[in-house]
Amino acid sequence: MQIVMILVPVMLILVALGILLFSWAVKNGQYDDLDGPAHRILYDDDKDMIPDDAKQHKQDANSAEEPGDSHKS
Amino acid sequence: MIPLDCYHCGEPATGTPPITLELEGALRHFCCVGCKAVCETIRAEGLTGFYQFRTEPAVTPKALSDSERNRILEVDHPLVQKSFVSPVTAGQEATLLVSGITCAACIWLLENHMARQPGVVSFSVNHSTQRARLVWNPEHSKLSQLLIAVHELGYRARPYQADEAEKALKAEHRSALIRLAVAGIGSFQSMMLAFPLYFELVNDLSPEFVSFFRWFSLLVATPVVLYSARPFFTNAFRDLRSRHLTMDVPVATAIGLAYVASAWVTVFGGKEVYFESVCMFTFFLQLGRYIEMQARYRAGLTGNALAGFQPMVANRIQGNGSDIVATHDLAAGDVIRIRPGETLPADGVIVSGHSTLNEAALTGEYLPETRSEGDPVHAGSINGENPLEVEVRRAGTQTRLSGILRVLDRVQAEKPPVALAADRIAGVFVSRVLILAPLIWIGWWMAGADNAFDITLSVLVVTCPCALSLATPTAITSATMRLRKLGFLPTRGHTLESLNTIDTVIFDKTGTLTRGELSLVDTRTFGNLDADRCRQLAASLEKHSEHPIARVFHQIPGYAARQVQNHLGGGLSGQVDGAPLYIGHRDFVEEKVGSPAPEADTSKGMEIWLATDRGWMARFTLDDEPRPDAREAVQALQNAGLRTILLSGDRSGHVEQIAGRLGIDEAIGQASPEEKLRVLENLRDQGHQIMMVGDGLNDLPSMAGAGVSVAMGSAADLTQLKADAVLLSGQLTQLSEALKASQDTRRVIRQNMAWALAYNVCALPLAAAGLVPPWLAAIGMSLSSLVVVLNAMRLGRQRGNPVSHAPAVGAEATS
Repeated sequence: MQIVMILVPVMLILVALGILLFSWAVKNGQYDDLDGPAHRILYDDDKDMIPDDAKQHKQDANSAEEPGDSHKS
Repeated sequence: MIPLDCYHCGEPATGTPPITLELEGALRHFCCVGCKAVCETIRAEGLTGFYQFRTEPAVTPKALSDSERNRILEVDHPLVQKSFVSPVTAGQEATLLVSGITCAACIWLLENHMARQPGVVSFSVNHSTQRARLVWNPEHSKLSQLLIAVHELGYRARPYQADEAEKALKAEHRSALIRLAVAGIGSFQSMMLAFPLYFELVNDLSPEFVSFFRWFSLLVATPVVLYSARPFFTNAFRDLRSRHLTMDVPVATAIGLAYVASAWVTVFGGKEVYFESVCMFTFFLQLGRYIEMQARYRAGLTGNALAGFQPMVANRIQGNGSDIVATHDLAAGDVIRIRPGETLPADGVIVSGHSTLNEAALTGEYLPETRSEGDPVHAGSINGENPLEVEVRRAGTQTRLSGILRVLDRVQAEKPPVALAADRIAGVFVSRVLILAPLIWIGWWMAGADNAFDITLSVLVVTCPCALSLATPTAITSATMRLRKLGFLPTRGHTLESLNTIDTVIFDKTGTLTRGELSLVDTRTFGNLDADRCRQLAASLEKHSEHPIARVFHQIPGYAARQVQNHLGGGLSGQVDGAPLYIGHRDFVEEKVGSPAPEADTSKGMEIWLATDRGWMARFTLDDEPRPDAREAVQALQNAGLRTILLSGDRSGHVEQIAGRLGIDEAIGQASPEEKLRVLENLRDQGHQIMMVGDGLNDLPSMAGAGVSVAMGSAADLTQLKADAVLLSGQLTQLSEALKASQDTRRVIRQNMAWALAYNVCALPLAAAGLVPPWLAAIGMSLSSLVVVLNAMRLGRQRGNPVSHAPAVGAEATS
């Protein structure tokens, strides 16, 4: 049972850290926009980061959709 | 020909020759050169993904006129920038208000487009508020160039500065979130620590352990009470000083007493502690308030609403030259130059030049008035075609516009606070309990009981007005959610309750019952050309004008016109395919053509004539049409037993006619903002409860005087900010829906109250008799709260058919 004497204060310290972290996040404006990030994830803005060989592979899958892109890559 | 829609904005693409662009192997049609230009920009930057991602068509872009471009260039002046630009480590930071965003893809497009501009360090758009934060390096790029870059895509951006109220709202919003988190985490922790104490799960619970758990519970509960529950204490203190018992008083009393008593027991020994009840209670109440606040937050974010009406700098003429001075430095006697498209910074008299002025901010009249030398002009008016020189008579706080705003503030300050039913009942109940509790303690103490204090405490916990105080906010939050879906957004806590008592509805005319803009209602031709071709000819000329009349034709594709001249107060002249063409008022065109206008039946509304030098071609009739659902809405209100009144400042003269067409009971025209307020006050003195629906700044004082004020979604920012509710969809029929919802809300609040009171009245004698152990008191409290919340949820269910409307942001459509 003595372990509780240590675990409870440890838990409280962790909780306090959690609250500090949360309040930093709130003050940093991370909770100001709750809708945007949900949409942002849907858009491909990393085309230039995809390696060329992987791109080629993707092209085959939907080549019918973007024929104009083929000479660029 | 198959009717084609513009690939970019979805408007019909009927131009001849067709405007097309090859995009990813397919030929796309466009309604205008502007759309094509935007699409080309998008293609050049490789952002064509926009067209696949978007869920709504884009707004039709409009080319920047020279005066608009000049005004944008003005933001580079350090005096202008002083108010909204702040230096950050990477450069300069400014907040922009972006309009024209229809869905989430627009934000993606804007952010990617701006990231490619030189000098932009970061550009991010907040999805919920449509504010953009721009950080740029002033050495590489000017702010005006970046604003023009936003316009290149067909969106509009203007600098924006949060006012004190908005800053406070934002800070409050953030701190409420932290308070909620502290209370939530605190209640979990204290519950964990309370478990072994309550149920003695640990068999060999020695007194040291009990004491240990209590001390740590105290440690957890202290920040919850001192930080999370602080708003309750400050509000309760304020209410006690003003001798007006509200819900905050019992809440603060319960939290405070339970906490102090538990702390006492922890230090000096005793039977029970209630830390977890304190934390949970705080958490529930904070949660209710946070949700309520969230609903209000978005509506309140209209910020520096005056910015659009009062320019920050003025062009003062001194000797032969002129210099730019801050508006607040203007004094009577200064002569200022007002360029076309600028807003007047002060009241004064025109000393030279003549132009048309749009005085909508002051009078609500949507058509510009012609003003020339010697005429008085007012701050807030927008200059039309020609530059003006104005001698300042009154500046700063003495202008007519400031006067209207002062009246508004006074009326709002005088408005008695709405006595909420919950507060009244709770006030009575709480005062009884507070008297009873000491009596119970004295009674038990006289009877010689050891646990007199414990019994008294459990009386306080059992009667803790949790359910009572949740009864109203939960019902209102849930009803607000339902109304939001209908496009009716209540922005004050009392709106829904006040709606119940309404017996008179007052409408403003322009922009409220009508669209607030002219539309083409009739075309009559006199030559051998058909109506479509006449409209296209008219559009080719009107493209070159910013006058509200001209805007009617802006959606119609036209031809290239040359040598277009603006004849002030008359019309336009120009050449199409080498033939001279005139459009404008009858007198103006008659003078140019040299023959009298053909006889035609007179029609309601404004007449615009089109002619060449050889003969008359067409007459267009323009009118400000009532909204399509106005008549239906008025009827629905009348069926509900409400009196309808049309109260307008309009000088257009057809106030009576509109009232007749819509079946409105009474019509009052030509009323100044002060007169409108007087009409309202008279009605109020007769004992009527009034709902005022309006959209202009001139409606503001009377809206503040009404029991419930509703602003149209298209209204000026300030009007929306001060109104009790905003009609986002602009559908007037939602007014009667809102009234229905408010009646439902009142019923649910009453049920909730009845339940909470019944529970408390039953539990009180049992607790006073010492029959309720603390854990049972806690369970009872939670159950009664749960019943109240579930009952309130019923309000959120939609009955009947949901009415579709176009939401402002794509997120609202998808969420």
